[in-house]
Amino acid sequence: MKNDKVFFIAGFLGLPIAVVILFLLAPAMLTIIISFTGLDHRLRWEYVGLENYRRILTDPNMLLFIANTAMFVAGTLAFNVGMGLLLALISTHVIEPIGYLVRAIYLLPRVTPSVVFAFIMLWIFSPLDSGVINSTLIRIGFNPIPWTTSFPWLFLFIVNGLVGCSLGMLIFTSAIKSIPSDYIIAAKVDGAPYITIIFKIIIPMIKGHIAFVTAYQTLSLITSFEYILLTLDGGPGYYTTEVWALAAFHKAFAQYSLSSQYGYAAAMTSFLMVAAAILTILYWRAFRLREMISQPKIEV
Amino acid sequence: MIGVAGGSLLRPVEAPPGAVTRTVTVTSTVVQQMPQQTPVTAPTAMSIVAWTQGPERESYYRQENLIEAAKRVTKILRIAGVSGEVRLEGEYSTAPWSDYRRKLQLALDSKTAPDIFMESHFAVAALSDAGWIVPLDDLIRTYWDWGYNDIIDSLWSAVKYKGKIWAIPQDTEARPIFYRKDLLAKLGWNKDQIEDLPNKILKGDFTFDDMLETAAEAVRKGVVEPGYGIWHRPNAGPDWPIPYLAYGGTLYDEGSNKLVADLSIWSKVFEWFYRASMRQSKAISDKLIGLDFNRDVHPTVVAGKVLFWFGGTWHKGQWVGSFGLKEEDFWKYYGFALYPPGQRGGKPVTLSQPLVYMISSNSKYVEAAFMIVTLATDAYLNARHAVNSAHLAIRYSELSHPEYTKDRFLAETGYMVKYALYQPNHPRWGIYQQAIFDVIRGIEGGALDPGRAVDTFKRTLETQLGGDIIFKGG
Repeated sequence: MKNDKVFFIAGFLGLPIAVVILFLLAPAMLTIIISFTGLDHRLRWEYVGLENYRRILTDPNMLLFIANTAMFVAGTLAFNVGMGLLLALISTHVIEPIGYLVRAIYLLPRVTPSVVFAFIMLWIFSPLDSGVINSTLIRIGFNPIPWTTSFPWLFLFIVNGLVGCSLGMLIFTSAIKSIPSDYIIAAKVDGAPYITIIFKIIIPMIKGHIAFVTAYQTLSLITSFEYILLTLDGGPGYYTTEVWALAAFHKAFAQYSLSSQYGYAAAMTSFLMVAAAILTILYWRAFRLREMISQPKIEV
Repeated sequence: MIGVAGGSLLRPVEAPPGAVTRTVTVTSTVVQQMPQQTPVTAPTAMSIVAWTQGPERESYYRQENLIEAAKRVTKILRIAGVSGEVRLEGEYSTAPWSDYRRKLQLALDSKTAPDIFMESHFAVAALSDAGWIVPLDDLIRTYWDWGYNDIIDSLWSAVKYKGKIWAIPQDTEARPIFYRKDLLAKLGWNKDQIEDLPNKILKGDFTFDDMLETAAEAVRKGVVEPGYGIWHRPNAGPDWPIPYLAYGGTLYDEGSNKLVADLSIWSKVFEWFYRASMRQSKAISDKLIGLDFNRDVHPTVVAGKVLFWFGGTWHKGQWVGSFGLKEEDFWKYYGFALYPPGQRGGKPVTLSQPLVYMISSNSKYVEAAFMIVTLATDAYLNARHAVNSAHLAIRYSELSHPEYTKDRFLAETGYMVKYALYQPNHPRWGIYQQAIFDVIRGIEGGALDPGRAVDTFKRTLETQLGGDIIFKGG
């Protein structure tokens, strides 16, 4: 009996564990190993110790990258959580079919291939007269606005936010739907205005979900650079929107001629891993996530 | 599962079973067989793979000439009664250099590289050190009279590293300053002055500073918009060392095989870019670096909005070929000259970056690939590439070939090769080149002033190049 159970568990867990080891742990280990080498375009494995880390700490652009990353994470997170909440609230307070439709539409950015979505966004927000918004503005008599060159961060928040808000939207929707309706009914009977119901009942009851989404998306955003690469590529000026992960990517994979620095980029990425680990621990403590996933103290 | 099933149905057509695939060398034994007309019994096919790079589509003869060479070999085999074929496969890339090089490097390291591939000449250093390319001295010596005796002498130094030859020149170019004649006229220059500008530069009477002053004046007088006085490429590349060379700097010490950075001269260069930036004379826009080459930069230059353009000869080919500039309009509106010297009375300069064919060390058909390249380096084939894409000749007989001489632009830019300098064949030159761009980007973008620029530059080179660089004039 016992053996059967062990085989059963091993069989089911085996594949996911293998995937985690092969595609998450092994590359992470490799990255850390590479960060101690001087691996560059010549692809020679030469041990250089902490040289790469020392260079990172003395690089004049580092503070800029950190500031950009902080800006990116904070802004996109606000958009993600705020928009996700808003969409969840809206889609649960209209009739079911409309709710489904709203959620389906806002899932489109996430399921659209990233290159296609980036192109569409660049076309909509193009700073040239030919962009969708600008040509509409010109048509109705206003001046065109150079969206991506004048408001690069706003543009990035919208692009990444539209993709990211769908996760929050889904989680918050199911959370709101699972709130016992007695609370809402009681509040309505007491004559509470709707705003009060939202802020005093609904949001406190889904606090755990908000915490989870915040934590999850922060960690996800720290390492995210895909949409920045596809749209502004760190521009439009001198590293205006170059986040840490993107800088590492550029150093390794986007050099013009034979100057790829894999070791240096790996060291930058290792910093990110450490930062992500620290944030995970902080979030774990601050949001008391352990309590959320442990057995409830009272049998319901 | 559907993909696997579908993929297994879409297998490419393979040679019929039992086909013999062996190397066919066009040697005298085949010629001797000719009178008897005995064909080889089993069909033979040799596939040589070549990757070439533009990125501009006007340069597709880089691949086409190799294909033509393979066709010529096949034709000779047919005439000799051999039913074999030499096929040239592979592709011409119009992707940016960074993408092409990334693909190439991974292929070289995994030993799946094509037999023939294209690169900048200075890559001979890093690629030969890594053991990824084959030295070609013996083959060139063997086939010297098949055309290598005709290659312009100065090009050989571009493909030599540590005493050996590692590549065959495919083309060369010059990087001139283009200027808009109509804008100079609006500035008050008369026709003679405009036509005489290249000569003044040759004599050293018009310096790098004079050019900046002219651009600044054009901005002040409203002849061009602020930031449109002088434009350059919006990305890293071989052009960036040219101002340093114009001020008399050297990049390489042959004796010690080390890169050289004369900081007193770099300081002048960074000072110049600072004075040209939007914080001072407003000649160079701070938004330039973020633009796209094909979508934004070329159309703006072709539209005549920019006074001076730090370009390359092949840009004329691109403008006429892809950007709608008529040939007559090019001659009417654009002049071109060497980069002016830094000092009055000094020598003007330009930079050439010959692109070269290399043969990878994992190639199974080294001599056959070499033969394809030899035949593709034919004077006519190279001339048609040069004319179509506005690159310069690599052979003496090409210089006098009627296909080449009928092109006015190539004739008028030919003199520039005498003043052309090369980037150093050093394995870590790419890092130096990138560092120059990063610092100038910082100056133009407003993040660095000249003093900090020199410090940042020195620190970057020190930490990234270590013992491979010598500093002078600190």
